[in-house]
Amino acid sequence: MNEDQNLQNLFEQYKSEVQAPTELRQSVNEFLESRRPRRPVLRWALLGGSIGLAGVIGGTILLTSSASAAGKYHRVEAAIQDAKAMEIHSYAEVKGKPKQLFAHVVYLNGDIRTDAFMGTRLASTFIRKGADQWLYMEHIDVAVQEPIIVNPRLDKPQSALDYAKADSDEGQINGPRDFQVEDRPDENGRAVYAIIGSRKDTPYHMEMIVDKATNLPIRTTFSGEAPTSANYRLIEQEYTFGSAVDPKLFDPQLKPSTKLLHLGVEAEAVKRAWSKPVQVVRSQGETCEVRDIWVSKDGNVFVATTVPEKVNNKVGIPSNLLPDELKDNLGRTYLLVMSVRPGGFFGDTNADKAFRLNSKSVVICEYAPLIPVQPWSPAATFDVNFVSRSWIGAPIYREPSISTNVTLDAPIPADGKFPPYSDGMLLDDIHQQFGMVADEMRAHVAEKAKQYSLAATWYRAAAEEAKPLSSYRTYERNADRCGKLANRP
Amino acid sequence: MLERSGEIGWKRETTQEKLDPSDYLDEIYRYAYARLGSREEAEDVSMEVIQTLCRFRSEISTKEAPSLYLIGVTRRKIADYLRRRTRQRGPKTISLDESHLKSLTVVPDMDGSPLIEALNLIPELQRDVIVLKYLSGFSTEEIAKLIGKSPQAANSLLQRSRESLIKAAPDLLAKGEIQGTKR
Repeated sequence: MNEDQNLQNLFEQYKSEVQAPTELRQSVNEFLESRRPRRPVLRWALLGGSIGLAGVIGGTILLTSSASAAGKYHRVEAAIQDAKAMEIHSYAEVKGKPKQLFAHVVYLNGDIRTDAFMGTRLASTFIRKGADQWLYMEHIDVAVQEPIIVNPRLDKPQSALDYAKADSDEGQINGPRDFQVEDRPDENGRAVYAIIGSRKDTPYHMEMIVDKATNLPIRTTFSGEAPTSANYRLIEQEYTFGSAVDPKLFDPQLKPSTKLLHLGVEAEAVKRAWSKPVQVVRSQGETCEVRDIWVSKDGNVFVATTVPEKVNNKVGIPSNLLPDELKDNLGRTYLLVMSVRPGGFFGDTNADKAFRLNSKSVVICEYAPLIPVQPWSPAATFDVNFVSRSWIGAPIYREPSISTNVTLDAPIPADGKFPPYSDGMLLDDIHQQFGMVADEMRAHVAEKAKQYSLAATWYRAAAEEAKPLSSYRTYERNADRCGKLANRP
Repeated sequence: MLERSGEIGWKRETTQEKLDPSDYLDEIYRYAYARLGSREEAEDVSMEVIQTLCRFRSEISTKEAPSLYLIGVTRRKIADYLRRRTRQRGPKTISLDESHLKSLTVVPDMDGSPLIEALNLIPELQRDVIVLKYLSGFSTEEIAKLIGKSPQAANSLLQRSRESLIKAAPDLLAKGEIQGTKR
């Protein structure tokens, strides 16, 4: 056996033996959960919060057990189909943490209301009444009225069953499952049975307790992970059928302070405001149109651009000519905190769902001052270096051969933390992270300059900003590390 | 005109769209550990990579070769990490630029894996290409892209790296098997 083959074997052995530690995996999962809290809310909650229910009633069920299970299943299906009113309370129980209500769904004759509680900053209410859809985002006190959810399965009044079945393939309940029926002891004087769901070769386990008299489910518990797994999370859903539901629940009760948005109107307003580029920047055959510059009174700068659909650069990473380094006429430096492609639902940056202007991608480049002095004195101009770079998030690639410097007039700082188009483009979720990332970047700059005490201060500020979003403690650790370096003789 | 595409938020995700940074955690961690030789540092870097990836998650899903992309991001994070680590050790330690020529033999918490120990005996850049080749399984062309060299230069570097590793750990390479590792 030659050395090359031996090396191959050594690494194969290494691969099989080395895995990410459980603590890291847990931190990552917690972080990811906190970073994408809105879609799960809607997946779990809007859809009747009935994933467990759908687990039994979804379209890809493989009934390999007894005929009895099939019969029970159809009886449950028929019972839900006839339900005029349905309520679901959804709870999540994560290892070591108390059971927490994360969604409450009310269904009445085709209308549906979901209150989701995925953290205080991201609580939301969704109402669908007839053809109208409302979404109220409590953390920014904004209500959106629009058919924002374009889902063929939900675009007309439907039954409780339809809600229950919708998107039943999402998440952990994907693929065919086997079901068994078991007798269970009476619960509160009611005769019940259980439908047990499982999926071959996965730890998925579901138990639905069903009322024998009505064939309506009482509760479902399920998890996609084994109880021994670090990622184990038990979902419990409690169902109530036929309860007296107040029809007023389906009328949005908005506070006088609530900002009301209609996405179609917002889109038209942006289209008008951005009809002419502020400046067209070109370099080496690449083009970037600056559509808007907005500055907050804190000195944060938002440069809205339109660029052609993404182009792969020589290392295979999509890139475009975009604003990169930014300074003002007073010599102050700004940090590129993030580049955002608005679009989709709740800041989902999936390219298929993005906003476009004249068939071009909209990219907002967001900056924060390196030194956020208060009060902030307005600048007259910005000197911006445009460079071909990876075009979203934090730049991970720059092509310096395609770059140019441009001076842009600075607007008068405006009230508010973010540009007025932010809410209409549903950037609220992404903007939750703006302060945290800005502080982290300030910390990096300070650390690079060996200003460890300052770096520690900024890491701690980032840690404070991160608290509602993530339980990962990397900022604290970095702050401690820099603090030690600062105190080194 | 400004438009929203027809199906927002509820589009059924394709297999490719479902790619998730956490799916690559093991791959990222293994690579970081092989490069840094420290589990704790590999954890820190892996977490930073995941955080970075989350800021532009859609790019992962649209890529034909997400591994190449993710390892590219991880390499940059490691470079940042090595810069920081070098700085922490004071002005007399070698700079990152020099690290291409010399080995960074500063691995505080090695846990006894002979392969990792052997890797830490060769220069940083050589370690990088060995790991890219044998752990991540990239072709010479892909490695060339990642390290910013021509395929010929990458191939030559790979040859030299193999020789260095053989010289550094002849017994290990002769056996082709790790014995007595802690994992």
